[in-house]
Amino acid sequence: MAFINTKTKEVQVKLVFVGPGRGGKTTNLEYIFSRIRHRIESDMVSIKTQGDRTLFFDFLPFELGAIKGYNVKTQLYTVPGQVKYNATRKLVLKGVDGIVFVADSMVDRRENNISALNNLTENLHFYDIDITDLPLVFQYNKRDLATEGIALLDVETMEKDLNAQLKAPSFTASALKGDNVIPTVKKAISKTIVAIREKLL
Amino acid sequence: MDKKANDTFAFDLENRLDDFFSDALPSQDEPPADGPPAPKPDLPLKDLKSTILAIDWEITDDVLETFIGQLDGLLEQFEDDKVIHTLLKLLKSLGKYVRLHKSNAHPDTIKRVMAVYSALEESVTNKDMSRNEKEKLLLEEVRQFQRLKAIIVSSKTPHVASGSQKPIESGEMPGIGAVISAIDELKSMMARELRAIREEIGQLRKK
Repeated sequence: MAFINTKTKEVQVKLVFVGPGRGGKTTNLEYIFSRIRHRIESDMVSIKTQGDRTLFFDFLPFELGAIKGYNVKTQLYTVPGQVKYNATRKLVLKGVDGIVFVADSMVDRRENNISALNNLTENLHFYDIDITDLPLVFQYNKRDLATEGIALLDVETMEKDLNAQLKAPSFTASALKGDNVIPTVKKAISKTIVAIREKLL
Repeated sequence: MDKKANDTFAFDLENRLDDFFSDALPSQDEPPADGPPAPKPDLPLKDLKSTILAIDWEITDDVLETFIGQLDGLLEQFEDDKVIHTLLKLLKSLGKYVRLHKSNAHPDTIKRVMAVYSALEESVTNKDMSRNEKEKLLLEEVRQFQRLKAIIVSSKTPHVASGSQKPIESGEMPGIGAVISAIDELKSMMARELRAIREEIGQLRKK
């Protein structure tokens, strides 16, 4: 649940980027950081292994500014995608307000996407959160690989695999090139803040 | 939940997100622009708009102080443009009235603030607008301002000399003089309110 301080008029929103390993979660955050770094005071924190994999999590906090008199502070997190780091994934999801699910569009990652979504559902259950109640946005990443002749899942298949029941907003994207990264995060922030407000009223 | 409140909230939120992310630097993948960078579009009302949206959400002393401070800056900036200057003065009068009465302010006041702001924004940003069109816009806002003022005065203070209030007949176009007189009247109304509050505080202290 978002941290809301009515005295200081502050709302703190936690958004977590989840998805299969090597799917582009950190690349999303790095792109967002590169686009907003000139206007935020904070830095992006990233803890990586030698092989450039996310070991613990990435963290990008920034102040969005005032919305209806409340100063909105947003925190973007990623979780490690590798299966073995489930304890960390679970921990990072504590207090989550919204999710961006970064799915890998490559054909051979189809099962990884589905497993990662199932794992997310289970981890949220641990905190008594039903995934259908949580603001969620899907991003079908790596669409740029089509130009390199790499076989990609078509969007309909990905929607059917991941979003048939959830019916969340979804974006095709290339985090590496920055395509649709900002619209994804904007949608996620917007959905999350609206959901928080609705809960409060 | 009130649909209008939802709509304004969503509008404000989208605006905030657009502002936050649209000011971003060009990505490294974009080709560098030839020559010097284009000047940033002049957005003199950007801060004022965000403050007005905040007032629509919640009226606080801080927001109103910011609002009046921003208006003072804009009044100086636009002192040579009579239409814009007068619209800013109208907003300042409304802002001062809201600051004094807060949630007890007449419920139509915020609507009026929004309307005057829309006219102001149109006058500042629409380069195709003729002087005549701008003046018509101003006169309509002045008319509406006076109408609201008349309602406030007649409903609040029985000792107000309502005869001093010249009724606005349809088709009559009040000029700048009328605006100044309206502002003066609003000021004197506020002074009366302050006196009344001071008296009440004085009586409470005696008890």
